[in-house]
Amino acid sequence: MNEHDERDEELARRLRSLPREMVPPARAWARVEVQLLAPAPQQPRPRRGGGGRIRGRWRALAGFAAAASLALLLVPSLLPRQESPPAPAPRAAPATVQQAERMRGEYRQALAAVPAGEIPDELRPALVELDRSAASILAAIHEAPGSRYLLDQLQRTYAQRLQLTRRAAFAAAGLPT
Amino acid sequence: MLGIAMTLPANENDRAGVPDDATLAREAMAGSVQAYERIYRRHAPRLYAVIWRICGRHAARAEDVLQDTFVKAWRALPGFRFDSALGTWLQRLAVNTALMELRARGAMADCESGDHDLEALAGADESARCAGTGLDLERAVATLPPRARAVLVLHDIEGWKHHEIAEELGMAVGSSKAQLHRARGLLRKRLGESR
Repeated sequence: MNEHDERDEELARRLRSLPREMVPPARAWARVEVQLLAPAPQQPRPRRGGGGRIRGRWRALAGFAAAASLALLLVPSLLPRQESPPAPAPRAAPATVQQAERMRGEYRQALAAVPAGEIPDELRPALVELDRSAASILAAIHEAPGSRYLLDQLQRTYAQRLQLTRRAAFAAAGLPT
Repeated sequence: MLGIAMTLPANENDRAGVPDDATLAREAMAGSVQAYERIYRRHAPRLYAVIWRICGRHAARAEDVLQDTFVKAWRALPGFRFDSALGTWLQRLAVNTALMELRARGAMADCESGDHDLEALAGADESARCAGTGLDLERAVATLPPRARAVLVLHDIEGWKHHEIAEELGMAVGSSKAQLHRARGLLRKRLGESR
């Protein structure tokens, strides 16, 4: 092995010893989740006949969720983006972020406890919008930790999503809602 | 401090009774965002590190690329055939997305001629060189031209083969070797080593 090879080997050894993993910013997953839950380009067509009265109600709910989602997405866009190259050292999440994540965990547990049933087509858009809205709010909380307003909105959205899911499950089982 | 943290390797997860990648991938294919989040938590640190280096330690761009990678992967997951490990598939997607980001910014354009950027760097910003102690290795890697940096990161840090790098970067295998050789030379200069 000549001197040049030895220096290459030494450099390669130092490069291989660099850390192979870095923790990405905590908000990154919330941003991904927002996009995953975005409505598909083609929504299923609502079924014809029946349910006209409740369909209008769910459509209004979906509209509310969409509006809330849009408004909340503006919050992070107004905040300055971090442009400095080095990644920050991991820090403990602010209290509101911890509360929001805890709330999400409880919501998921509650959702899992709802009996699985076929979701009526007319309810799907509202559920999708509520999911999207919740993900947007969660992303906004990561962007602007400390906002009690966002935390309240998240709680409200989860509650609406749960209520709607339960009603859908009862309706599918032929039980009164 | 770079905010580096280690996570459990796949075999540690297995021993802990956590669902393996294939199980989570199948659940995610069926539409489970929760399963996909577990995939994200498991693989994002590894992907973020390689993306961050390819992006020249630019945190905001690296975050955007990581986000794009996982959104693309979610959409492409139904086509995943389990021919390779999920982590390998995700890493290739991440590298491809990072390179696309660089190309979109025109950062790769200067490099199409091959050597020009490397030669230019050799004479650039002599003040950034720090003889004796040398620059921090991470910072020195970030000063390399984008294409040379990508080859060096993929080969010397991530352990890719030249034919894999050549395929991903759309260059000949010989070019990949040449880029690596010169990138190492420039890196040594940046680190203040004698020739």
